[in-house]
Amino acid sequence: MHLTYLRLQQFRNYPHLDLQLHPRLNIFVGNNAQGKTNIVEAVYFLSEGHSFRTSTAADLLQWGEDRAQIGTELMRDDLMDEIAVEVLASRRNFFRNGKKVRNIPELTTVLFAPEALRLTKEGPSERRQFLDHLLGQLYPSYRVALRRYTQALLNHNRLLRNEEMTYGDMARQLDGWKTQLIDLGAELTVLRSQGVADINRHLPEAYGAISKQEAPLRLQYLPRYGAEEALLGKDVVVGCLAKAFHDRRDDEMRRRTTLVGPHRDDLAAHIGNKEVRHFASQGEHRSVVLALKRCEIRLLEEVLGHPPILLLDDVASELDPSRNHAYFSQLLAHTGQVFISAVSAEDVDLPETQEARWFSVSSGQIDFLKK
Amino acid sequence: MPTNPIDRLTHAFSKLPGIGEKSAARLAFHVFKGDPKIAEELAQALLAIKCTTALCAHCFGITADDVCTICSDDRRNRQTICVVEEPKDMAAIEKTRAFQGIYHVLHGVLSPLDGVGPSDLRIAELVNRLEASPAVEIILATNPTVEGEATSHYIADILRPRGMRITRLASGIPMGAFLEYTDQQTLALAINRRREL
Repeated sequence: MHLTYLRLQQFRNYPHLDLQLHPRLNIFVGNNAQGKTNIVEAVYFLSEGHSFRTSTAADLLQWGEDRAQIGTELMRDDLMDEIAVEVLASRRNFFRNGKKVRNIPELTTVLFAPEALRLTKEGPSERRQFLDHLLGQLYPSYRVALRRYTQALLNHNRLLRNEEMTYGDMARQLDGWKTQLIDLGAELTVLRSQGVADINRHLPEAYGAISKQEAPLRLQYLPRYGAEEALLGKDVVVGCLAKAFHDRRDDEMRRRTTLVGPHRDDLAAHIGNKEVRHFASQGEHRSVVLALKRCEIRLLEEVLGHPPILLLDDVASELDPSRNHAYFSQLLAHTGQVFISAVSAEDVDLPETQEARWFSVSSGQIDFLKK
Repeated sequence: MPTNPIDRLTHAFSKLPGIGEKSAARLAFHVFKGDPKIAEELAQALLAIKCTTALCAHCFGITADDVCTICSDDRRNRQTICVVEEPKDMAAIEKTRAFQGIYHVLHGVLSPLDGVGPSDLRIAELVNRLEASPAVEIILATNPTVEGEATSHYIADILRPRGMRITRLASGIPMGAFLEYTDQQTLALAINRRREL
């Protein structure tokens, strides 16, 4: 799967741009704030329907314009589709071969931006997000369950915060939401547990290629309730969550928020018996995140039957030279299309013989670059 | 200067759900060019719906009299009450002609996020109704959204001590549909709740 060209209209700092793309590596080199990331962002938008840099669609429009357009041609084996997305301030419209569609599920990307490095350092919500995004792509039912779970959770929390209701009234009303939190929560727990097992299947190879460490890297799923039960199937987790809800009922009423369920799960990464979050060096953090991304690509490849498009936004500058080398040589084993943005060509450590197209980006102007 | 009549009608049509500016203008021009009878019929029907309709005293469906045609029909089975969210859901089930019982319209679903609680729905009225004339079965036919599920669950909890049969609408693959076009959640549910042949 690859994109043959990219056409931007009134998108960010591009009034009009037409780029012929290489089926493998496309490398955009230029100083900061020249428009490198805008290219990566446009491709990401085509697959996800939103940006990774802003939640305000108006930011994506060229100043003074009311709509932007991103167009491309997607090749899958010998099938060709014209894909476009029209971005308006309040919504977006996808088109496949001129026909309006809801989304473009066949266009799958894996993004790696500097912010990804927060994954192993910050709070659990970053890690849940990583898992939610990956599992949503791997198992379509996960996305639906997560959406319903979130809706039920918001309602359940709102009820708990109602201070005018009597205890009995509240208990009666909470029940209908709780039943769903337990059922959907168990489904999410089982899928997360399965997803983490899938990641661990690929971790030794992914981590081994980046790090010379002897100690193995392992990811551990940490649901507050039902860690062991998750392996035994949904029904067992349902029982476990129901018991936890029952046990913490008074606590929940007092603290006025939902205390039980997968919205409080976490993940922990260990190198040997050292927890990454607390004991890893800066370099180890990066290797762990790179390895996790590598697993994400592998898993998507398994499910989709072809490699996803890889988006690397200014990642090389975050790596030291030896890791940079290991990283890019591993990247070349990725047989899909790759978009790379970098401040200087030296940041991208590729062998001379590697097939790639180099572009120079300077205030919204893109030229071919001979390296 | 008063708005010209075409714009005024276009504006009025565009307030209806599912009708945008362009459709509204098309409808307005259609009425303008068409037989005056069409305009007259439309005008009368529009007024009548607000002036001569009310909610049925028993089921809270829409009626022209005190009691709706379904509640006053002797052939309907009063032992089975189907609980729906909105009058339009009642109309949808009626069209199937598969249901011989009577209805109860809640006029909404529980949704703490939108500030809708049990007292905003016709739940107390349902309990009163059952107090006056007990039923054998209650079919909870709210939509399969999280709000609909929570509402059904709440009503089931309230009615359970009365010992009647309480059922929930089944969900699964639409008849005549292809599996490949069925959304994944429905399909997964249909697999989990498969039945013996």
